[in-house]
Amino acid sequence: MTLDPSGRALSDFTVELDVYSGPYEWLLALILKEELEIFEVPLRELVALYVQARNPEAPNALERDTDFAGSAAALVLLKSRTLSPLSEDGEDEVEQALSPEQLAERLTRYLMVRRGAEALRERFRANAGHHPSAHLLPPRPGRLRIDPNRILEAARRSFSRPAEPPVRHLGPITVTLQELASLIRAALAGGGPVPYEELVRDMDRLHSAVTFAAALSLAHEGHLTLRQSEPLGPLTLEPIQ
Amino acid sequence: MSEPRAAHLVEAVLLTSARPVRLSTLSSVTGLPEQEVGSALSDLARRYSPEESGILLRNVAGGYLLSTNPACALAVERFRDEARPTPLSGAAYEVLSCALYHGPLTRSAISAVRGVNSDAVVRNLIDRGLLAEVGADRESPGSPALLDVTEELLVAAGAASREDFPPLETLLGEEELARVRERLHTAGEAPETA
Repeated sequence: MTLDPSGRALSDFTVELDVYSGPYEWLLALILKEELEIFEVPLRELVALYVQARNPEAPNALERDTDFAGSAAALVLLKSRTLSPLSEDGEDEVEQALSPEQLAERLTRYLMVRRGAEALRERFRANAGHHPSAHLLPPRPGRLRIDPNRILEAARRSFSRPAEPPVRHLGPITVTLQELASLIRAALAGGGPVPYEELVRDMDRLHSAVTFAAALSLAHEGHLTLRQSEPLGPLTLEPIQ
Repeated sequence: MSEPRAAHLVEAVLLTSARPVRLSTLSSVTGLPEQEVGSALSDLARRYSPEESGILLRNVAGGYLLSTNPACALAVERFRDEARPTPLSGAAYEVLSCALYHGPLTRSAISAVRGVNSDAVVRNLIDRGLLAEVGADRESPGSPALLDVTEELLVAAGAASREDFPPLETLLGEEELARVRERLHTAGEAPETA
């Protein structure tokens, strides 16, 4: 693992974990793109690696520490959310208080499963060096056994609709994508490019966000082009002639 | 050419299989009675022992499988030019242990045992072929899928069957159980703080 004191904060911080080896910033990107499961990343180990590589004498030590603390806190939050039990009906449920006996029973059950997991890990480790024949036989036509119940189950899953999510927490609809798409079309009717900032100048955050979504939608449909000369720079909407 | 011996036939079939082959299948494809296949397997087990060969005969997942000797793993992995899969996390082993000892069970039952949402871990284990959906719990609303461990898990753990694993009750000592109960009892008696 290395931590170069020069350059952009954390850009040279690389990590060596079982699940990933490379730049820390790429690790964050892989987690955000869900190409790496957050639950697989040992956060305690990650923090230990940072602390080990930290150089308090570096000119930007404070900036690095701040960046790392911020991203590590976000990872902790993300991991805790991923691991939190989901409410079955979408409503907040207050779990009934358990008696000490029930709690003991639950804990005992979990501890047994955990011991089983430890034994399983040891068996996996002991058997990791076995490699079977690489000769894979193709399945023979007509000799595949198909369980009708499994086909029925697969069909049921394919054709069933998921439950409608609850929307009671949402307020009344005050703005639609269509309205703001019409606004963009009208602004572009003159033929020239229109800065996004100008379009949303007098709008609140909700309208600005929906305007952006409408612009993306129109760009996707081929009605306009979005131009941005640099990351986070001004955005311009140009009509496609 | 003389008739091949029973052990030769069984050996030839096993060599071509990447998966464990059941005794009944060996008997069926070689045309030999199961008893004769059994004694051929005993012959092969002696010949393919860790001390004698780079290949081992293993009794895993309800069948027989020829695999390389772990002592030769490094050379084999260099030749195949493939890395071993990423090690499983502690959470993944816990989910597998749930399915092994309490399966088939639903995703929510796994989460209930572990006390945390395990859906992402389950997804990862299904992708790796160690867990599979084996049916549906028709008693529960929405008939959620039932999950169980696969043949791949038994092979990876070097187990002939589920019975090869120690019973769940033996995994936790009485002393440890007593300690857990004692701690809970003490916590229950602690005075409430404002």
